Amino acid sequence: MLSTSPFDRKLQLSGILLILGLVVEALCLLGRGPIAFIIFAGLGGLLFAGGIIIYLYSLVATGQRQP
Amino acid sequence: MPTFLILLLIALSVALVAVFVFRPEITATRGGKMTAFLALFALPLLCFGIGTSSELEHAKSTQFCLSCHIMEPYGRSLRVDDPQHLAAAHFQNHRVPADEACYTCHTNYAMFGAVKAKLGGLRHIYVYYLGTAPAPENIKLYEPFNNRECLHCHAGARSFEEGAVHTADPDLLPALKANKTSCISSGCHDVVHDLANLKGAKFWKGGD
Repeated sequence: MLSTSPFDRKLQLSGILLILGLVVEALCLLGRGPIAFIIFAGLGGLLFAGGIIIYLYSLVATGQRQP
Repeated sequence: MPTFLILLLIALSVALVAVFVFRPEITATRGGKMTAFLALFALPLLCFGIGTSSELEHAKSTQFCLSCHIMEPYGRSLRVDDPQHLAAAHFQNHRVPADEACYTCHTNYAMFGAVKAKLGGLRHIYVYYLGTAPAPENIKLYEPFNNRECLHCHAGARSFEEGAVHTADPDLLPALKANKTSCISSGCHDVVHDLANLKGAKFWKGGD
């Protein structure tokens, strides 16, 4: 269940993307074929990047609201 | 880094990230904020970095290169029982590491050579899965094989520097070192992967 607070919601979204990215990475490390390599670099990379960017954005967005 | 250790680190990261998914309000405290930075930034970056390094390392393996069906005849050519076959002789006599045989000869020993080799590998995967893959016998190198790749190991070796054939003509060694005469196409070591004659070839059974 996503939180009602915008900051917490961004953290949760970031966390969900990162968990998905980590799961993709784990599966690809077990797979070890060319397809696993592509999925790791493509999908895994996107999920990691998305999660980290949303987390960093949540920090910046919170900082802007404070006086 | 062993795969199980990477998986352990991933499991730890997932557990830590999950805490913030289910209890995001703990970031209200200073300790919570610091842990969030670790869980949502530092650890995932570390996992991705280690994972990428592990994947790239694994992509050097002979097993990885030969996992594409199109490369199967090239893999068989490494087991031809004939010392005149350059790739087979290198593979069977461990002149190249047997578990990184393809990469050792087909990488580029220049600056950013490893990066160039990886990009070439990505292109192979793209062509194999999304493009029109050529027949194995029609696969060509992107550019003529550079002697630099051979000399990376052979330069300075007695068998190379003082070999009877290499020293018979005083111009040959300088020409080889300057890449003016190719090691593989000058009528010397010109049988590399002889796919055309694989059917009738005798194969080495050892090395497994």
